[in-house]
Parts: sequence; C-alpha cells; structure tokens
Amino acid sequence: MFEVTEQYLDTASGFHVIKLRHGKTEHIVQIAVGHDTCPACGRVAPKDNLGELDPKAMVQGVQDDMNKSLQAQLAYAKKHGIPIR
Amino acid sequence: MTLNVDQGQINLAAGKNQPLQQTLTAINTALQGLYQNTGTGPVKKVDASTPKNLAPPGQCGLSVTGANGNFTVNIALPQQASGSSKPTNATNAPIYQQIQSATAANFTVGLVTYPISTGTSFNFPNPGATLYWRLRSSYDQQTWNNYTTQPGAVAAGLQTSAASEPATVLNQTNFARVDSIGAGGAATIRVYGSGGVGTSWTSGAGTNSKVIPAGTILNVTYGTLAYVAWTGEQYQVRPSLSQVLPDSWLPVGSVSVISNGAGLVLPTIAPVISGGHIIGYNVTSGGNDITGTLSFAVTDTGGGTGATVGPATVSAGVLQSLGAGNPGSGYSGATVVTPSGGVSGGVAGGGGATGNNGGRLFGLTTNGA
Repeated sequence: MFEVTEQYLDTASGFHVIKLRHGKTEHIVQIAVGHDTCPACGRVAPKDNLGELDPKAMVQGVQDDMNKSLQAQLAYAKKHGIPIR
Repeated sequence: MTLNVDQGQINLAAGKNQPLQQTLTAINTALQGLYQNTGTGPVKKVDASTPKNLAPPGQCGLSVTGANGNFTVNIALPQQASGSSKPTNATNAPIYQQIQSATAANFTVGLVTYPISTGTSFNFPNPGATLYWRLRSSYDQQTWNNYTTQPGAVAAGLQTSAASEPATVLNQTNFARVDSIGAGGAATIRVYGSGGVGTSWTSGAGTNSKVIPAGTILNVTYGTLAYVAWTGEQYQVRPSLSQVLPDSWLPVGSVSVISNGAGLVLPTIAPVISGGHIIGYNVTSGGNDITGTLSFAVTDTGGGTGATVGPATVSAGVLQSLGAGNPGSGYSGATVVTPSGGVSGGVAGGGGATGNNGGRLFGLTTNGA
C-alpha cells in the first residue's frame, strides 16, 4: 500500500511536497500553499485559504484513491494468476 | 644484487656457525617449497629510474577515436606491443608523450600541441571537430623519436542526447497527460501517464527514456493557465512557459485550470415559511464540486413575491448554508428555490491536444476531464 515516505515545505516553489511510495512506485502529492499569480497581469497575491486547509485529510484522500486502485490491480493479478513485480 | 639464495651462499655466510647454517637452510628450503606451490619466485629488482640522455624509446602505438563530441586517445607503450619485431623498453622506464592534432594531414594548419605527459589515455572534448593526430615519445623530453601518425582524419561527432540536460534543445518528448479537475474552492492538477490517473509517465530523450512518478497538485486557484515542469524531485507550476525552461527541469505540459462542471451537483434547498414570509432556508443537500458562485431563484405558484436569499456559504465544493434575505410576502408553501451556476469560469485555451511547442514540449492536455 502507498505510504508517506517523505514530506517537506519548499518555500521557493510554494509547495508542501508529500511523497507516497509503494515499492518502486512513487506518487508526488503537492499542496499549493505559496502565492497565486494573476494570469492576466502577473500580480502576485498570497494564498488566502491556508487556514482552511487540512493537509492530512487532503493527502489521505489521494492515498486512499491510490490504494484503492492498487488493491484493484492486485485483485486482478490474483484472480488471473499473474505474477507481480 | 640478487634476491636469489643458494646453498653455497648460506654455507659461506654461516661459516662455522652450525646452528645458523641449519636455520638458514631450513628457511631456504621452505621458501623454495613456497615458490613451487604458488608458481612464484624471488622478487627481481627493477630499476625504474629515468635513463639520462638515452636514445629515444621505441615507437609507441597511437589510437584515436571520436564519439559524442570527444576524442579519445590511447597510447600503447613499447613493452605492450607483441611480435618478434616489437620495440622494447626493457627497464619499463617512464616515457613522455607529446600529442599533436591539426586540421590538415601535413600538420601545417591548425596545429595544436597538448601538454606533455607520461599518461597513456586522454580525452579531449571538441564537438564537431575533425582532426589529424600524431604522437612522438621521449625518455628525457629532449630526444624524441619519429612521429607516429594516426591514419586518416578522426571526427569527434556531436554530443548525444544521453549526455545532455533534459531541457536542452534536442530531440525529446514526453508522454505525460496534464489536466485539472474542480475540487471545491480550488482545483487539482493531475500529471499522469497513458495508463490513467495515478500512473507514472515516460520522458524520452533521443533513444533513451526514463519513468517519472505521477503527481497530484492540490489547492490550485481557478482561472490560471499553468505550465508544469518536473525538477527531478517535485513538480513546478508556473504561469508562463519561459519559467519552466531552466536546463535541469523537464517541461511536462500546460493546463488551463478551469472547471467544466463535469462533477457538479447543485444543492437542494427548502424554504422555511412563516406567516407568508420566508424566514430562512434549509439546505437539504449541499451538492458537490461547486467551484463558482451560485445563484438562487425563489418562485411561488401561490402568489408569493419579493423574497431573496442571503449569503451562501460553500466549503470544499459543498453548500453549507444559505442565509435569509428579504422575507417577501404571500408565500403559501408551493415555493421552490432553484439554484444555478456554481461553475468557475477561468481562462480559455491552455495547450493543445498534442502540445504545441515545436515538438519539444509534448503534453496531452485536457481541461477538466
């Protein structure tokens, strides 16, 4: 199953980076916590919803989706006797 | 001096000292047995000092090859040659090598002399160059032998994509898909491979390829046109293409972060009526994936008029509450509150179906899929 192996805040890019890993497969989850940039004028504004964010729940949601998909694959392999690598 | 010992030497050294003679004999016998069993022998003394003012060494072999923008020069020393007529270097003395290259076969044009060295293997970067090569050798850097010339010109070739940073202008592509979906008050950008959401994707550079992990980028503001790049460690999301082209970054694709309302479920609201006035609204279902402003129409078949709604509170794409506005009058109970909207606008465009950057930034991009 996918587990959180590493997480950090990269202030240069404005991302909270969370790395999920299952065996050799990695999935990168990033939560934008830096600034927003107006697409028209390029004006930069800080994120105004950081207080509402629940990163644990957000990551858990992605993790659940990944694990659900993984379980489906494993069940498929088991059903048809396909080796897993 | 020799390290060989025979019985005569032992007897001479021991003289009349019988115990010493016996001890040395036993040691010599043991050594001879050891040599026989291991196939070795006494260490031979080697004089590696440089002979002074000697004749030049025998001709050294020269081999120059070109590949990937580099010339590789290999020198075969005389003692490494084979055959009955091979030159010799019996003392294994160090031999100084002087390498030269030129753009003309007679070494009169573009002559370059490289630093003298006793090395036998060299690497000279010179992408695109085609050069002639020759070599001469010396024991003392004063007396040189004749030039050994590499037959014909050697081309270094050009640097291949395998030796390049990902973002240099070379033949490269990727099979990433980048899209965005609404996730309540913010969007989610997804980067994935042809296997579907959550699968890794492949980056190709020349004939090489590598697998990049999929990514989910949360809390991205609606209405932005984003360019996505992979740094080798994480994804970068920038508002312009030029910002994702540092040498060490791998451009992935672009996406217009809008919601097309594919996952939108509008809420249902029941009015609270008292004395013909609407004094409040009950949210019976908060809906889902609401990404933009909601509008509400209050209609009544019994003749009620004038009622308006108050502020709507949406959190994580779900309507949490709807405040009361003007209560109106004449509402009988046959009253319906009809929501509409709820989809973010955003900006149009944002990448083509097969990328549109001259083939260098190749990303399959869909919006709100």
